[in-house]
Amino acid sequence: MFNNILLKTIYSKRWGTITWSLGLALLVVFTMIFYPTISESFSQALTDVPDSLKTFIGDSSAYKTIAGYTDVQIISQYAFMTLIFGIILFSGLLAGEEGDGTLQALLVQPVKRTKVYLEKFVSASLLLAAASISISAGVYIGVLIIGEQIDIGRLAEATLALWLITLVFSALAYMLGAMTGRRGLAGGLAGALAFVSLLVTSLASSVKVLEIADKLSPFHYFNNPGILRFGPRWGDLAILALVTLLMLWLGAWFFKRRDIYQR
Amino acid sequence: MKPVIELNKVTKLYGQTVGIKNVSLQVQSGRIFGFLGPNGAGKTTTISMLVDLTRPTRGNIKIFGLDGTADSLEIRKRIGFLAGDFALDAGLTGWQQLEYFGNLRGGLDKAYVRELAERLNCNLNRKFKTLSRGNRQKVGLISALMHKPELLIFDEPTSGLDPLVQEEFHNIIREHKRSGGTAFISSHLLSEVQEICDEVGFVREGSLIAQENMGEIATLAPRRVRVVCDDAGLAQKLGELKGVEDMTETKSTLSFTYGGNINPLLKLASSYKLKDLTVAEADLETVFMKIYGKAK
Repeated sequence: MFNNILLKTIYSKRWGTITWSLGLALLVVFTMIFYPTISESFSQALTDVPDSLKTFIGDSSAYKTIAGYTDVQIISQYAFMTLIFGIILFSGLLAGEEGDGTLQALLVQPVKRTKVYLEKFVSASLLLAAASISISAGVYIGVLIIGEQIDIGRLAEATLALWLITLVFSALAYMLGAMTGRRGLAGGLAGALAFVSLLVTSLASSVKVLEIADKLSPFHYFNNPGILRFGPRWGDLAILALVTLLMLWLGAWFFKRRDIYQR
Repeated sequence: MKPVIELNKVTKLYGQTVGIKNVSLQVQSGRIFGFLGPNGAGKTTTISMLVDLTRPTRGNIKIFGLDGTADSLEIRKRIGFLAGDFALDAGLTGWQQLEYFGNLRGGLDKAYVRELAERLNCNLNRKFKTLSRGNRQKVGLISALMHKPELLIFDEPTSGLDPLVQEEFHNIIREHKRSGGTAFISSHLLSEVQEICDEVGFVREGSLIAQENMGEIATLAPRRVRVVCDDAGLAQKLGELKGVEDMTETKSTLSFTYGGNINPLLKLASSYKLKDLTVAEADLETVFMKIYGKAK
């Protein structure tokens, strides 16, 4: 487990990831088994809801199929739960470790800073993937319990999208942490931007002035209109991946050059 | 022969704040160099630059003749470093942490780690978060020594260590020197530097005030002396003794600063019936003032 930075990081973060993933999966299972009850009452109740609210909780048609329900209730809404996990995890890796002094002990070993930076990012991305997969596992178990069927291929594509959107904001937290060494700032700013992005995309369909801002919002390129119902837009997912890679590169550039402070 | 460490007019600024300014020094191979200064003088700033955690604003650093920044990876293979605020992953045991660092260096000599742990009386099976400050420091020392580096760079290495372990640490440093190794050790304790170092650099408010051989410093360094004696004649005799300064008298207790050879003082004191006598290292500020007061 201690052969390299990647494996050691996974080992160090294993319990947090396992606990978070199990919790998420359990919540998703509970949400899924309520589908038969909720689909009936929600599809009637949502007929008169304003458009702006529908973007948050879905329209009535979404609740008529298990795919629509999963799109709205799980993939879109649980993305934020995964995001919180991702931001905490990624902001803790460099900035958090620099704050508690453990990063300094690693950086004086004969390893390149870029290697430290990349291996930690890859390990956290794998842990984030595990958390995203736990949501899909919850969906699958929930579907089995209520005797419904869901397209596994689409579910995998939705999981990929979920992982990518959380990776965008997690990479933002990671980049800011690498640039500043300040965990609070990195996590806080990434979290705030994620919230603003979600808000902008949610309201853009009913607020005209937000249409342009929506194009800059990462949530615009996620599960829009709904992967389980309509399939993924690969171009959108590629944009999320590219933005992540761009931030990864930027963070590495700064991290390689900046001072690491002793406590 | 090229020096192992060479700082050429190095300045480090943190915004408007000066970390160190225009510091030049050299440490030759096989020497144990003490870097002495009060807290906030610039010791940690200098050491951070030696291990490439921070980079100079101006000037340059060479270690083993290599550039401190551009060749940092090669340099780090050959040094052992202990930070003053040494910290490791709280959830790992000492062994796990050393195995991790050992693997990053291409392998771990477990027998040598066991030997070091035994000498420093360090339990490597406990998680880092359960260790006291002193025991954490021991793990840090082992991590810095376990690959038998050519150059040791230590920032306040003995803080938190009990006297017996401090003595063993001093022995390890002496062995390192005997095997041809070099060390750069920061401290704010003159006594510690006197114990193990060949030469000393005094740093104060970011500037290197002097670089001296240790032998010369040892005889010049003042001490704080406290004598308890009922005989009023002692105060008068002490007042006449060369090297006694700043004497205060409270009831039967005399306190003063004494600089120079200790023997005349002991000879005088032994001719009186004393109740108590303590000789302590003067604080660093006093040492600076006594040794370099005129030069400043």
